[in-house]
Amino acid sequence: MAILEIRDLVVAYRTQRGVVHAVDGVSLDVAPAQHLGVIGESGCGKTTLLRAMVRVLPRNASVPRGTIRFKGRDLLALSDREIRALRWREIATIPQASMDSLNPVYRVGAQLVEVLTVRGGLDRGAARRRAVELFQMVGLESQALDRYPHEFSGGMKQRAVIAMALALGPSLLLADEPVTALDVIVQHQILEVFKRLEQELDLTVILVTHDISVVAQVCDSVAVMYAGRVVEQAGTQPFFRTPYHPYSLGLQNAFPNLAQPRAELIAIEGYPPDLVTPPPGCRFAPRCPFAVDLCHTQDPALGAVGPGHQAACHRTQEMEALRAQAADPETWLQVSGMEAPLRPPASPHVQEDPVP
Amino acid sequence: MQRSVVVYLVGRIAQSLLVLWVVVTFLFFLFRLAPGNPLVAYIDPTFTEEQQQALMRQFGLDKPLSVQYLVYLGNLVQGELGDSFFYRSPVIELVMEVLPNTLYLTFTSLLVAYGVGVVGGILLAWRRGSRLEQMGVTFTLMTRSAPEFWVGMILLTVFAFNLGWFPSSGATSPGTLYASEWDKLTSWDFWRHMVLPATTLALYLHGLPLLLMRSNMLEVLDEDYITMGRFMGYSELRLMVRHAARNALLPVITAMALGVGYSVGGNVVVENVFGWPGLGRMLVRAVAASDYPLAQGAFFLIAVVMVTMNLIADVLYGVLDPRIGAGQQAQH
Repeated sequence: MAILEIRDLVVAYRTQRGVVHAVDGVSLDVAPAQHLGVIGESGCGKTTLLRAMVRVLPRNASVPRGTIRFKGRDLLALSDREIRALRWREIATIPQASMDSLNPVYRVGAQLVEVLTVRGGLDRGAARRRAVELFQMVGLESQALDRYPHEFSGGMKQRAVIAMALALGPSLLLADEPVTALDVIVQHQILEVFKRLEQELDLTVILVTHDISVVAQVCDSVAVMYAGRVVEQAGTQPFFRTPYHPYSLGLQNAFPNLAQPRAELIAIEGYPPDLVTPPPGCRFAPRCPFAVDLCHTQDPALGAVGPGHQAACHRTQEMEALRAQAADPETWLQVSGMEAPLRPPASPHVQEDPVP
Repeated sequence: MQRSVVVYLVGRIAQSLLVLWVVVTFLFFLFRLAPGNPLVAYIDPTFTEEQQQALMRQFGLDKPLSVQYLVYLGNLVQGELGDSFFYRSPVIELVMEVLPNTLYLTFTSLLVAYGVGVVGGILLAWRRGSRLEQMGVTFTLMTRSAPEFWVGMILLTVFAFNLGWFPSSGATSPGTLYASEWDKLTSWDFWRHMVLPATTLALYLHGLPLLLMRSNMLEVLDEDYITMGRFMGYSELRLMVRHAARNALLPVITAMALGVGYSVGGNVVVENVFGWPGLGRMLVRAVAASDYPLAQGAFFLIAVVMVTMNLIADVLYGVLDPRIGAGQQAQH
């Protein structure tokens, strides 16, 4: 029984250039205590997907289609008051810009106490005691509660935001690039905190990142997003051992791997398609070294390739051979279709608020 | 930490005194440059040359300018502003008598203007893109660009002469005497006299805080900690008031210091239109009568009020924004 069921979700942004479908028909199931990593490059719709789950979207966004069921309730059908009641108590979010997510004019402890009293219903004394506990849980000293955000280092702020997210004991935690702005050592420390808390608190986590090494460290399953779609979904082990989508192959090539060190990292040439006018066939086809004619005309559906493993590619049958080819840097230099735009398409987030 | 706060305050006060000294010096020489004999009010054309010289000596006007300046500074430090040529009584008594009226008018209108401005700014930012916002901004721009004497006269025509709701002139009804300042402040009559001049000033003053608050709010509402507040399920009201407005308020505090300056300048006009017995009206009369000591005294007091308000605003800013406090501590 899934705690979260997303079906055919579409999130659109009105922009001056037209309607951008940042999330375009995504379906996902998340089981209780599952730790799902959502990966993909910038602008593929990861953050939009996450924000749609709690309906905190920019003003020019809309959800024309789809359902999000959380513990059996359709989140998109709830009233504003109902969804607000659910936020943080049931679904807590660690936002992308955690560094700037603390209010600069209030002490960090006061902000923690605020959420515990206003949203958690505790009295001030109990909230203060809980705040101390939460700080200990994420490895911060209780004296730090009396400091202002600007007196915190990046890692401390990240820990404080994690403490805030756990304050009300949510059952689902959404984390958007929780370690991206940190240096690798602090990154590692935060991820260790994360891993420990996931297990201790029996949390369900959806972690969004562009860094597959983060997924490898803290997630038990993976969903790969490309241009607003989920193109592959699998357990972490099978995903790293036998990826089934050429984009996943490309992603793995682009990151250093300690187990199989290689001389050079291979980048995926080109840019993701413009989502105002997406390509008719597979959206990855213009950048895919293995694309055949079919790929440019017909959009592949997400299909099972193994137990709990799905991929959206026409050539999953030949994947064994393709994986071998993908290891050769030459393969990625001769991309068949040159339809990919030379410049990156404008991100839908650039123009968040058009003049109404 | 406490120590650095004291050091900061002392430094800031010293800075304010320096500003006052510059103002005083400037005033002194400005009036000496003005054409005409300052003793016109005293000297009768029938006086002999010797009598005129004697008067000049009596007021110290026969001494060189530099000596006059030093004497002036020396007296000022002791709170001695000289005697008015026109009223023939000490300037300090004259200005102190009318200063309260000016302060009441200034602070009433500032309070109204900044209250309305801050709340209005929050509201317009919250309802951005609505008709309310369009109308609010238009109205504010209009009142902000309208000259005060004109607004004052319109209000007088409508509410004093046509409707007769409010008195047209003065701070109290003719013939009323109050046993104490407190009696005056708690009297209905005084506040009825206050309504029109304070409204005129407030209409002029509220534009700055309102537009500033609105644009600050729009900026702050895009901050990540506001999005975070949404994720946390806070109500829009809590986000607007406790999280966004608190941050957007900081520059408005600074503007308020400037607002005091504007309103003191505006006071001169408004006090004359409404016959408000304050410093501004006294100043205009003193200048017209070449009453140097009185004009200097009035200008000096206006400068004191302005510099003091600036000081208060600066200190307040440090209290409201913890980051500013830290910066000051690092400096000292």
